[in-house]
Amino acid sequence: MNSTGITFLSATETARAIKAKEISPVAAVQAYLDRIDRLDSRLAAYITVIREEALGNAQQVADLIQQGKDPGVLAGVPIAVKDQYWTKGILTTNGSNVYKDFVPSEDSTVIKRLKDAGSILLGKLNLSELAMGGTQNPPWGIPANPWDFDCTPGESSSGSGVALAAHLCAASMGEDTGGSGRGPASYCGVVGLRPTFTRVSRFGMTHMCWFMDAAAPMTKTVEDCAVMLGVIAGYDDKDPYTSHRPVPDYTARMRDGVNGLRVGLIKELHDTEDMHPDVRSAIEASLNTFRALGAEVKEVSVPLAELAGAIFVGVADTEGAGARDEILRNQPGDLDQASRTRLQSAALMPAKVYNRAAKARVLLRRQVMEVLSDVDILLSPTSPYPAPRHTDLTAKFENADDVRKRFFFRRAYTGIYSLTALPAISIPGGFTEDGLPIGLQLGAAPFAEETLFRAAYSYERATNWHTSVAPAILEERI
Amino acid sequence: MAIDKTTVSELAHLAGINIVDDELEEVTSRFSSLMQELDRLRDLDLDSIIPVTIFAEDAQA
Repeated sequence: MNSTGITFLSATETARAIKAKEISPVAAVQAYLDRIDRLDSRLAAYITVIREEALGNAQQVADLIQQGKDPGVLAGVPIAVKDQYWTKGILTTNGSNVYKDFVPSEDSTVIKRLKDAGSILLGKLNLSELAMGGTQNPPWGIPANPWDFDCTPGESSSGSGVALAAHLCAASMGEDTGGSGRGPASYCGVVGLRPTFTRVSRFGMTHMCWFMDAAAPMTKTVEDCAVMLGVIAGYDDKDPYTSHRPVPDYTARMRDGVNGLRVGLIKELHDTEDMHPDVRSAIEASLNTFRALGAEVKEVSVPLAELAGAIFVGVADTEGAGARDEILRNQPGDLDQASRTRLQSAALMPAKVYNRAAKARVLLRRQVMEVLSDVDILLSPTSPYPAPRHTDLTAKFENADDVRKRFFFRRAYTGIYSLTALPAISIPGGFTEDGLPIGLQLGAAPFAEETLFRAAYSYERATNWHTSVAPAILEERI
Repeated sequence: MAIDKTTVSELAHLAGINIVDDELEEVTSRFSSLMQELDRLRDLDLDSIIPVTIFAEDAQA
């Protein structure tokens, strides 16, 4: 297999090929390093690439295989992580000049578990400043969407989406507070999971909102995502909120099909004039796909869903502003203008309004849980429109109505699961007429990730959207 | 509640936050929009709800 062929394998295909000695871990890492050299100057997916360390670690995995030892489920798989995860001895910028010299003294739990599973860290990925969004001048370059370089790859795990869609890593880690993992997955045409809130440790992950931040595996396939979650999930005494529940083999029931599964289209996230027509068509086609696969499809109502974006910003941004108080007071000039104005506006939140938003969050959870007693899977687009152009995303807000349309509307689609602490996955769901990816979002009850993977895998196999590669990437037109 | 640049400027002063003149308009737009959206929550009956940060693992709602 040639170098480019290696980089087009999924993570699980890579691990299988390495264990079968069809390719060596060193060859896999070198293939990705060469590709990063060829493509990333234009894509700006990476902030830091750790070449020598990656090659050295790959050799160690090769030695284990040579000795007949088990190298782990992700043996030799070249991965990359959002630069929000602490990595011992490696720069961790959080996408901000405020942290431009921050070198952690220990690994985050997610990084440790990924290493223990045999994966090879290639480097740290670009992101919106402080894992927020709308950054106008990212210090380490503007990540380009592989499907259209003039469009955003999504926020805030931008580099994690770009690196996957451009095959600059076999799997990546994003982080998802309000949709920061699922959004880029949607815009880049890859898979992104927000697990149940307490499923994965957040130790060593710089916080945006401490009670909504979630580690988000991002992958080329649903199977890869199930494997990644199995590696990183489980109790961690460094994060007291992690669940003691045992971690299942998330691939075990993945191929069981969806016959009899109850799928609910969220009415409030579909009956809106502001949705892009191609997104609406893709969602309606997905309902037909699930019907054809044997699922029972119905419409369900979550009345507060349309306000989820505002509730999310009211709660999460206020928490974020509180956590960043020192920076806001003492280093506001080190922040990007978009981060600064967003945090400053959130810092002005009256206590009674915050309290009302916090109560509405609980009511939203009740509404969603009631619906989930009637269906197994909730369905909506991940975003009501495809990737916007960079210039549209970063344009200054003209007035309050402009903020509502460009800031709150989209956040309702992903915010609904962030607010309610429920698992949700974004998978490739088709393309617009202009060739931009559309994300299909599936949600489920707490700890029902196995059901999510069942539905997502069935849909993925029935459609094969995930096998598409952006033309500029395929032809290396950079 | 009408929110203008003067109100935002006064709130920021009380909060100890320095908003530069060039960005006061944008902060005002963001804050005003957030208040407008969240004002819609007034119509909900939230009196009996106790806010939580982390939902109990075995909670059904």
